[in-house]
Amino acid sequence: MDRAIVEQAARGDRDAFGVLARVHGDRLYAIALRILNDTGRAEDAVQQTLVQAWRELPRLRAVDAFDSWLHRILVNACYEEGRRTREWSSHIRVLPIDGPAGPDETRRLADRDEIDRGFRRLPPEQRAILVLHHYLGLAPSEIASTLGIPVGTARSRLHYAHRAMRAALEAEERSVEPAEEVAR
Amino acid sequence: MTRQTDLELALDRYLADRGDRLPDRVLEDALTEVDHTAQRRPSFPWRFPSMSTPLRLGLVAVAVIVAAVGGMYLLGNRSNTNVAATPSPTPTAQPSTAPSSQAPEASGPAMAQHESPIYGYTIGAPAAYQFIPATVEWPAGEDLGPETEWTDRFRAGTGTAFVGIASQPLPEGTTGDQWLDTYAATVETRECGGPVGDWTDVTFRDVPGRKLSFDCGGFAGVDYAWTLGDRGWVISGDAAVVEMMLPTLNIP
Repeated sequence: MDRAIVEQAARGDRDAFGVLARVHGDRLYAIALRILNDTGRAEDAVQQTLVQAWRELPRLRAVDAFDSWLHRILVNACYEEGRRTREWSSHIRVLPIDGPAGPDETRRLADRDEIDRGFRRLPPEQRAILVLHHYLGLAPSEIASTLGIPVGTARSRLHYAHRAMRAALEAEERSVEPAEEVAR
Repeated sequence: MTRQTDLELALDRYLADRGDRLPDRVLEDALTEVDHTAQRRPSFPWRFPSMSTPLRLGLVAVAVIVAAVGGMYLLGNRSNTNVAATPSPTPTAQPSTAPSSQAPEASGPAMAQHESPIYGYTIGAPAAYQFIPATVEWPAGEDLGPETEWTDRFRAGTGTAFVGIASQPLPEGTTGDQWLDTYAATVETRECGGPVGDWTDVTFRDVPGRKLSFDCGGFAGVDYAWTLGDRGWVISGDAAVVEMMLPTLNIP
């Protein structure tokens, strides 16, 4: 990121901020979509993030940390979106699965469907950790920096998120098995 | 799919980039809102850069000594506490209350007692500190800062270290937890609020609250936030001084 553009925006240059918003918009949306699993709420979270980033930008001390600062605002906006709707599952629209489902794809899509259902069982805080790690590719130390938490806490949260994901998958399997038995 | 590696690979695939694009209308809506939104001027740091290292170290040492003597902060029960689940009195604007002298604590600095004209509490602060009381009550939705008129400010005589205290009524229908969440969110994004740790739950004389340590230009700061009755409270600033003052706080 061009440091000069961030500094310009921090000084109140709306055009410079527009550049930042366009550069980061798609990435922010992709992250929010994965955490919230809902296009409408992801759009709301990104919009809130951009407006808050504009308001708070003059207070950003470390311009080089702009990316992680922006991600932190986004994650908090996603949490807020999550809090607004307590019943997560009742508002989820399933994201489309890209690509044709040829014979070789069958198992992969089955896995994906399984992961999708398991992922939707997780609370937003655990989804956020998994998205930062598996989508953005952040190491625990970078997650810690992004979320403003100690590295040990980031490691611990990541561990528990993986564990929760495994538990969610097992719960999914248990809920499917009886139905299969009835079918037989 | 029970092995960690399988799970992680599956998550990598599931969360992989799908070329998601933010709809143009969302971007345009956001930028339109930005056009009508003012930026916040920096109101932190809580302290000023001219503070000398010896003074800094002195304050930290004093805090450590006071802690060792046993009068220190959270989790302690004081027999003379009057922190109860009652709202603070109706605020009335008054001129600054002159500090009354108080005997120095063992091994500690001379302390002066202050009463907040707006918020009604009393608290001890280092006698050398200047007390600049708030002139209006903390409005909902506004941040705290060393220059805001709703902050009771305690400043070192040399204009360096700083502690701020403020309180506001909980908005109608807002629970204590929700108020604390809202306050925590404002701290997340402030210039000097880069938290170095999670908010932690604490209990102050049986009143639950939260604590956040933060880094402010390399110097340790701390926020304590809690709700009491129908009001939310915050004390924030230099960690050493906050923790020196907090045990002396009395809210009627």
